[in-house]
Amino acid sequence: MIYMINCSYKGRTSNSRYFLGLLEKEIKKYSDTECVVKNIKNIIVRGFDDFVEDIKGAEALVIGAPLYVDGLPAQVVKLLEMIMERCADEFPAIPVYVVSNLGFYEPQQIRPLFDIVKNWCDKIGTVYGGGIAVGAGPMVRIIQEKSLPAVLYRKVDQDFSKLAKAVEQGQAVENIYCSSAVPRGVYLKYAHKMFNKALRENK
Amino acid sequence: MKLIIHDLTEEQLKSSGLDTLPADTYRFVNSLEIDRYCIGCFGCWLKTPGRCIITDRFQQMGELIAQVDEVVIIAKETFGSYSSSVKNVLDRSISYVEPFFEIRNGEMHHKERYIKPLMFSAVFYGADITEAEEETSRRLVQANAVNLNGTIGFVKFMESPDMVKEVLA
Repeated sequence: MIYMINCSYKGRTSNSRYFLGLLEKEIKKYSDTECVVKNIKNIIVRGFDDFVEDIKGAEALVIGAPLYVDGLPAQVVKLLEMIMERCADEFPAIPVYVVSNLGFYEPQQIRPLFDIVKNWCDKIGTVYGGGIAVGAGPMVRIIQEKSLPAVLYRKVDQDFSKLAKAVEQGQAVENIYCSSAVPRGVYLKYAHKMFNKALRENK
Repeated sequence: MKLIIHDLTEEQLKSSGLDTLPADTYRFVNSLEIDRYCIGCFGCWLKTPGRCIITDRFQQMGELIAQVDEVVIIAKETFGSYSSSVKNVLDRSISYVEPFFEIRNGEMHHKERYIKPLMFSAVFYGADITEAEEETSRRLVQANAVNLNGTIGFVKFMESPDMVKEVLA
């Protein structure tokens, strides 16, 4: 079983959940391994003991988290703290992967987030398996959901496939940085159009 | 005016001497008092611009930061991140910037809401800070300063928060 955590408080509508779904879809192309997706809110608020038990039966852990203020969202740091404080000794030595997305165009801006998870893995004695960062994540999702030309997101699909193979085989990969083929200037103009529309509607 | 965002208990504030800092120069935000996480709704950008939609004492963090010249973070070193409570305060502070983007130094960042200089500094404390954690923390603070369109003051590491006051002096 591959244990995935959707770390966005937006829950099932979040981009984090969407990109975990992409990884899940790719994993299923290679194996019948079950993927379980849990929301972080349920884990840190009331289900931590269940999480500790469930993770012992997992082959891998996948953390799906957006970039917040250049790092992990506070609720994810909280979960890492809880594991360190309460159950580091019994936490299984399984590979830990990260699926992350950000509003900025350049996926490389995610690097501190990957490093924080790696540092945590080193401290609790488990293995950092690598991560994938999706730049301009909201736009990549829109392009895929609206079935716009595949050339705009083919590289993203290829990169998710690469990570899926690694997760399924329990192997580590170098961090993967990907974004859509939409030029940065076009994305910026589109984002501003959406922001202005939302601001007008709220007046 | 300096804004200190910290995760220290009352006892640690006293033993570090931070509680004696002059109130006309320093304002404090105790992150241990926050209990609601940012829900990523963009409400502070698009529904109530400049203000978080969660109605607690951390609702106006963006405005508070706009009133100071320097933000000093005092946080337990946590795998290269700030502690979860301090990070929570920062996550709830994004109304300091606009949702709109601009390109600075070849990278996309948020536009300023408040046109003013801001210095960003951090003190990380903890008994067993690794070199990798230090490197990550420095990179994180640098990224924060860039995204707030500010400058870095200092980034320090120490075993105990008791020595923090010397850094601020």
